[in-house]
Amino acid sequence: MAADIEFKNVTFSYDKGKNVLHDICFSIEHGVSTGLIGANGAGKSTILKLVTGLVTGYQGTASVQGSIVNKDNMADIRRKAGYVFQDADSQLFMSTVYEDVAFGPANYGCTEEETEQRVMEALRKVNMEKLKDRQIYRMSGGEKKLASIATILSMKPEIILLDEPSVALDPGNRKNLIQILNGMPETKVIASHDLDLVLDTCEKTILLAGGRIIKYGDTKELLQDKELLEAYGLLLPLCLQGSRI
Amino acid sequence: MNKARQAAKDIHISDNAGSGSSAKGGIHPLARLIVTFIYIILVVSFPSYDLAGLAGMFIYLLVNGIWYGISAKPVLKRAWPVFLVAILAGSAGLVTDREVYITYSGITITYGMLGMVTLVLKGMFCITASYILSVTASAAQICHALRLIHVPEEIIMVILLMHRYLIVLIKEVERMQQAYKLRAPGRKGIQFKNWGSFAGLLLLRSMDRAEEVYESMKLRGFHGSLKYPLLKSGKRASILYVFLWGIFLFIFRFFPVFQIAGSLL
Amino acid sequence: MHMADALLSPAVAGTMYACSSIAAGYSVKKIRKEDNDKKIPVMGVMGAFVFAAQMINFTIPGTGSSGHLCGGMLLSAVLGPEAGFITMIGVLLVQGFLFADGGLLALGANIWNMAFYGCFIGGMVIWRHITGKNMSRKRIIVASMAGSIISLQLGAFSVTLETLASGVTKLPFAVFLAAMQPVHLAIGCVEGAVTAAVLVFIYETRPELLWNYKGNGIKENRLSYKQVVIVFAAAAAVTGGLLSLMASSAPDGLEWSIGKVAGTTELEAEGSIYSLAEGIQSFTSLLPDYSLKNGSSSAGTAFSGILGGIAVIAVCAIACYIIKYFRKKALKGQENE
Repeated sequence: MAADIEFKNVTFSYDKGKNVLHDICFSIEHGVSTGLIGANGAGKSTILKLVTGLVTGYQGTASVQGSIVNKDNMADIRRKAGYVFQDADSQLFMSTVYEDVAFGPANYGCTEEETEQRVMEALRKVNMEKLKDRQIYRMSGGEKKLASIATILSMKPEIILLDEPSVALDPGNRKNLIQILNGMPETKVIASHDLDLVLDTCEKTILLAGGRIIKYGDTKELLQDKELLEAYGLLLPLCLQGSRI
Repeated sequence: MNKARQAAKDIHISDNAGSGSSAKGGIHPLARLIVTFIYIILVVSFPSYDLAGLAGMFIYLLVNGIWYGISAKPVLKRAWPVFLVAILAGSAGLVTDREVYITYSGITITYGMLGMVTLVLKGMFCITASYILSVTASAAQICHALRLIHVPEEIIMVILLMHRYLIVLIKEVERMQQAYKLRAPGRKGIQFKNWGSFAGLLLLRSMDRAEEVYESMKLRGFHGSLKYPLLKSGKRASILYVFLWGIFLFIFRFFPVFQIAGSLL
Repeated sequence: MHMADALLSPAVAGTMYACSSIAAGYSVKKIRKEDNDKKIPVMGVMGAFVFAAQMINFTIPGTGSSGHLCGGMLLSAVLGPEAGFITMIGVLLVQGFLFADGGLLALGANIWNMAFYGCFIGGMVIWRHITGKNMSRKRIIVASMAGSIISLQLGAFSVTLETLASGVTKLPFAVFLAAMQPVHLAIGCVEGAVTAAVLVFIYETRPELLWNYKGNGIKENRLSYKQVVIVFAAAAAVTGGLLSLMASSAPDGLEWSIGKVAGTTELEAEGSIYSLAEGIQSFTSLLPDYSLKNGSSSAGTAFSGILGGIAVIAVCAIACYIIKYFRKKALKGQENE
């Protein structure tokens, strides 16, 4: 069976001559959650956007469950792979939570009953059933983040891509998010600077720097390699730094 | 930043009202829109000296004001500019229209004065009726009503997206303004030299926001139209609402109800 | 410049609704033809931007006061005139319906006075002609100033015409005009300066965002702060001069034309929509001007009117409170069950 996400020698640039991604090769198996780490500008977000076709015109081969990422397969790929934006205010553009979570299913031709059922199921997974009629601009940052995950879950994707999911969350909300992420069986790709979050949620990790893959391996192993991390502008996860008191 | 905060508060008020009883089978927003329009047209159509007849139209505002528990202060605040404009427009009559209407124990009232007061009242009544509509119907309800009268879908989508991003951008302005103030103490507004970069940055951020919103829509199968759920409301109650208010307002418009009542007393 | 409902007669308000609807219909058609599904989200967010930008106080140099942005011209320069117009309609609808800013009856007139001129005259005619072939800072500044000032002058002129045509004020045309135009000249200058400042900033940072930018590169002829002030002052002086010239040389001609179009006492308009609206008005005012004019015993009528009014209002208020009380009780009863 084909891997869920596969990159073969993918190179990409926004402006000619300045590569943002350079000869990227990796594959992610079904059901595995993978962290994407690296300093600012390493190319994490670009990889996620490339998978969903938000940036186009790359060289090499990128494929999702066997279908090549190109214009013809786009609708199919976008249904399989959901993307959770870093800024929940961009993700949630409808007025209420219910309307927003229903947006995807309704556009993909679900009937009204089916849409409602999907919405409620998605909201249940993130513990937000009670807030379904809430106006989005009145919600806290944590609630918005969970709601934006629900908007993706309602489309029943097989792959979920998350861009900096823990940014601007307080510790309580962050813990809640980790629990929810760990409870989701889908393939996950999490791009984050929050290495503790990656450690808690991902089995595998890809370390990027300057648009190249530096290392791809087991999360626990990779995140314990202090020298490697520091060489690329990162630090050990806090929980592995030991007591400093 | 008072203005921004006030605007944010106003949005909250109108959404609160909308999500209340009316969402579950209350009066249809279109019915309320129609009644408000009938009201405003009738008020405006009063002859310019018919103060007594116009006064009767106050009852609509009174009943709605009591019913929805609307306080007078925000209404007056909103009506203030209209009040000034109406005074200005009516003031010419004071000079040109000096024919005496009534002299009562030494006080003379001319037609010009009567006309001015009538015009001012018209202005206040209309703005109050709009205000009542604005605080009792949410954006979703208004848009639902607009859709039924065939306002193009593009305009409705713009309104709903605007409503969604108003607060996001107002907060952005507030933050930018605070940051500016902290580094330019003692200045009230934005200095001329910074006009372009200040509002320009806001524009750039808005465009970036729009780009991401579009991407988010696209990823979830957007093809140019947003689907909003239909609102449920009581059909019979709504028709009755328009009918009864319509009759009531027409009676007050075309019959001197107050005088009839007074002569009966 | 929002017009109040009370300043308009239903006939004039209806006419303006018709005019604005035609312009809106044209714009919507044009946007649909473009078939660009990105347009709507951009328009929605930009509408919110205009709203937020209106909250900014711009301090006017040399005075203690501050000005605000209206935004029609700015939107057109970024979105194009048609999309700018639809977005401005959205802004005005939100202001009217959700904030009770500007009247509902006057909405058609407000759309025309504030959005149409800004987007179509300011954006489509002036902006496109001045910046169309080769864009530069200087051209952007000139286009913004000229576009804003002219569209605001036209808007103010329309307000005057609409008010007079509605016959609600006895102000003589010339007096009204003399009050409206200079005030809006000042407002137009501020609007133009803010618009110019923003558009130059956009041109220097991300010119591709401008609607008609064709990628001809940024021309380095930076205007200094001083030069901008000079352009600002020159534009104001020229417009002011033209205006006073117009007002002094041809008042009779204008009076005459207004008298012809509107008349202070009666409307002599043509066209089916106009006559329909007029018909509605004449129907509503046909019914007896029952009360006060020529009343010999008007003191008596007035007295009984006041007495009756108080009584009716009191009855209605009490009835309303009573019904509300019982309804609350009934609802509580339902909840308890």
